[in-house]
Amino acid sequence: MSDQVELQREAAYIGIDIGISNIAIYSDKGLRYVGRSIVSSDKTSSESDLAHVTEPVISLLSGDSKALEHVRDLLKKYIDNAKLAQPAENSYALLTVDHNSSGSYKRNILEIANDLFKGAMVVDSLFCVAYRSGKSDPSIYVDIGTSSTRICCINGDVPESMSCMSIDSGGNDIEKELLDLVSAEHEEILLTDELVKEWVNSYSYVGEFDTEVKVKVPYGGPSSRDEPKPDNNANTEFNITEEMALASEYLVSDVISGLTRMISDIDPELRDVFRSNIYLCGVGSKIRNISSFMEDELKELGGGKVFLVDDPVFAGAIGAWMLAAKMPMDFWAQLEEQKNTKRKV
Amino acid sequence: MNSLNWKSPKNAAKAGQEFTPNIYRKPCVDSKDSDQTPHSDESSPEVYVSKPQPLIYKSEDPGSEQLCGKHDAQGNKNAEQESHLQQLKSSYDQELLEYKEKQAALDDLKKDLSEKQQELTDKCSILKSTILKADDKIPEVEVTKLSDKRAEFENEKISLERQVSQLRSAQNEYSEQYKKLESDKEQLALELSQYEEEMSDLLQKKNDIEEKSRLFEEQFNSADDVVLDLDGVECSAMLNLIKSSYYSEIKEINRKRADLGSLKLETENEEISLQNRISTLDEVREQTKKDILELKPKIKELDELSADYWSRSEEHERNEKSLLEAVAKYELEHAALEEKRVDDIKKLSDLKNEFILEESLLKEKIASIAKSREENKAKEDSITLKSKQLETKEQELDFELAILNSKQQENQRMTGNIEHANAELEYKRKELASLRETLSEDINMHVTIRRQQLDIKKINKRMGQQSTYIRSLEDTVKELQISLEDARSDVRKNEVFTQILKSNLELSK
Repeated sequence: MSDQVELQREAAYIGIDIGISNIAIYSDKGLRYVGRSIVSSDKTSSESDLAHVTEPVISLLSGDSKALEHVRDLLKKYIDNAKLAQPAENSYALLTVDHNSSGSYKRNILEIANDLFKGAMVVDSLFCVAYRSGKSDPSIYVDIGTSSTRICCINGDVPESMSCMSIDSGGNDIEKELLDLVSAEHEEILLTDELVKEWVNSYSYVGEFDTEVKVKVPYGGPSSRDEPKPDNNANTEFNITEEMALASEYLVSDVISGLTRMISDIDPELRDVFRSNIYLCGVGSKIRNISSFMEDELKELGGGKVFLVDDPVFAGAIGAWMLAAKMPMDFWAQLEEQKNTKRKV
Repeated sequence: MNSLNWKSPKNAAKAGQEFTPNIYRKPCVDSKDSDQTPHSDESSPEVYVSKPQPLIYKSEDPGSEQLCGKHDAQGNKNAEQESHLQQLKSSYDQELLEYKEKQAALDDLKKDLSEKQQELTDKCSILKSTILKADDKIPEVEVTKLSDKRAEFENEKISLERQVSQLRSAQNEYSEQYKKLESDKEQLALELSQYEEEMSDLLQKKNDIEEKSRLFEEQFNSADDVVLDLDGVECSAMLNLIKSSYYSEIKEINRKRADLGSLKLETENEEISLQNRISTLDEVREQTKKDILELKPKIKELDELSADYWSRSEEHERNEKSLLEAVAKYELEHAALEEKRVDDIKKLSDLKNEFILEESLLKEKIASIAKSREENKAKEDSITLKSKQLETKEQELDFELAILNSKQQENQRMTGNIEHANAELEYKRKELASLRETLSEDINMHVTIRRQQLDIKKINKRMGQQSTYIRSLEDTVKELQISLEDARSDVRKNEVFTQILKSNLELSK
C-alpha cells in the first residue's frame, strides 16, 4: 500500500482537455498550456497559410481518419510546447472527450495518448469540470461550446449518456447571427468571420447592459481575406449594442430550452437540487450577464441558480489532472499491461 | 237558672229573702222543722231556707248596743252582699259553662252543617259526574263513527248486491250459453250420428257397387269365354245381337262405372266436408271445454263471493241488531239517568231548602248567642278591671324579676368573657405548640435539603465527569464518522475511477 502511494507520488500526471476550439494542458506544479485546435498546412506549400488551416479535432469527431495524424501531431506539439517537468513517456495522462462523441473518436484519442504517454485514459469532459469543482451535490453542467452546447446532470458519478444531451447551438451561432444582423443593418460594411468572432469574444452580453458596444470597422475595406487590410485611419465606428444582445440571446434561449428539457427528465424529488446547482462553462460562459439572465429566464420556468465555473478554459484539464493524480496505480498498471499485451499481439 | 231569667243585683237583693244560695253558710232549718234532725237524709238540699239568723248581743250600754246593732246590721248587709256576689259569681260561672256548652253545641252544629254541606257538594259532584258520564257514555264521535260504519256497510251492501246481481246476470248468461252449447252439442251429436249412418249407408252402397262392378268385370272378362249354346246356329244377326247386347251391357257397365265414380267423388267430398265439420265440431267442443274450464273457477269464485256476501249480510244484520240493542240500551240508560238526574236535582233542592232553613235557625241562634256574648262581655270587663290590677302587680314583680335576670345575665356575660379569654389563651398555646412543631419540621427540612444539595452536587460532579467522557466518546464517534465518510468518499472516488478504467479498458479492447 505504502509502495503504491510512493509510486503515485513519484509519477507525473497530465490532464488534457481536447476541445473543438482549444486544447488545454494542465500538469503537476500548476503547469498550464493552451493552444487552438487548428493545424496549419505545410509552409512550403504554394498556397497561402489561410487556405491550409484545418480543424483536426472536428474532422476526427466527424469520423475523418486522416485527421488522426494531425491530432497526434497537434498534441505532440502542444505537449512539447508545454515543457513538462518529466518526459511524456513517463507520465500518465487523462484526456477529456465529449459524452456524445463516437467510440472510434474515443479509441483514436486513446490510441494517440497511449503512444505519447506511459499510460492514458479518456473521460467525459464535463465530469472533469465537475470533479475539479470538488462539489458532490447533484448539479447540471452546461458547456456552451463553439459549435454545440452540452448539458449534463452529474450526481457524483461519471454521467451516462442518458443524463446528458447536446444542442446544435454554440458560440458560432452568435457570430453568424451577429454577422447577419450587422450586415443587414450596415450593408456598406465589409465583415470577416474573425472580426465578428473577436467582437463576440470581447463584447457579447445578454440582458441589461449599461455600456454601449461600439466597434470599429474598416469602411469599404476588404470583402475577403485575400484583400489587403485597411489602414487604421479608414476605420469607422459602429454601435452594435442591440445586434450583439439579440445575437447572444439567440443562443441563450436555445440553452434555456435545452435546460428545461433536461430538468423535466430529472426525478421530481431531485429537481430542485439540480435546479439550484447549474454551472456554466465553455465559450458561452464568457457572455456577460449570462448567469443572471438565465436565472431570470428560469424563474418563469420554475426557477434555478446559475453559477459560472472558475477558470473555464482550464477547468476540464485541471479536473482531468486531478483524476489522473488520484487514480490508483493498479489501474494504470492494468492499462499498461493491456497495452503491452496488445503491442505483443 | 239561665241567662234569660237572670236579674239585676238590686232585684236579686230583694229576692234574696226568697232565695239566697250562700254556700258558706250552714243551711237554716225551719222552726217548723226544728224537731227534725238537721242532717236527715229525707230532706233534700232544696228545702233549705235561707233565712238570716238575727244575732243577739247582750250589752249593758244602750249606746254601745246601738252601735253594735248598727255594726251588726252593716256586717249582715255586707255578708248578704258578699253572698249575693258569690251567688252572682256562681250563676255567672254556670252561665259561662252553659254558654260554653252551647258554644260547643253550636260548634258541633256548625261542624255538622259543614259536613252536611260537604256531603251535599259531594253528592252534587257525584250527580254531576254521573250525568256527565251518562252524557259521555256513548260519545258523539262514537255515534258518528258508528253511523259512518253503518253508511259504509250500507254502501258495501249495495255494492255487494250490485256485484251479486251482476254475477247472477252473468250466471244466467253463462247458463244460457251453456244451454245453447249443450243444444249445439246435442245437435252435433245428432248430425254426427246421422252422418255416421249416412256414411255407413254410403259405405254399404260403395261395397255393393264394388261388388257389382267386380261381378261385371268378371263377367266382362269371361265374355270371351261365353259359350253360346246355340247349336247349329250360325247367323250374323245372332252374332250382331250378341254383340249389341254385349256392347250395350258394356255401355251400361261403363255408365254405372261412371256413376259409381261420380258417387265415389261425391262421397269423398261429403267425407271431406264431414271431416271438416267434425274438426270444427271438435274445435267447438274444445272451446266449450275450455270455456267450461274457465267458467268453473268463476263459478267457484261466484259461489265464494255469494257465500261471503251472505255471511257479510248476516254479520251486518247481527251488527245492526246489536247496534239497535245498544241504542235501545243507551236510550233506556239515558232515560234512567235522566230520571235519576231529575230525582237528584229534586233531592238537591230539598236538601238546599233544608240547609237554608237550618242556616236561618242557626243564624237566629248565632244572633241570640251574640246577644248573650255582649252581656257577658260587660261582665267580663268588670272582671278584667280587677285582673288588670292584678296584672299591674304582676308587672311590678316582673320588673323586679327582670332586674334580677339582668344581673344574672351580667354575671353570665362576665363568666362568658372569662371563658372566652381562657379559650383564647388555650388557642394561643396550641398555636405556639404548632409553631414549635413547624419550626422543628423546617429545621429537619433544611437539613434534608442541605443533604440533598450535597447529593446533587455529587451527582453533578459525576454527571460532569460522565459528560466529559460522553463528549470524548462523541468526539471519537465523530472522528470515526469522518473517517467513515472519508472512506465512503474514497470508495465513491474509487468507484469513479473504476468506472473510468472500465470504460477505457473497453475502449482499448
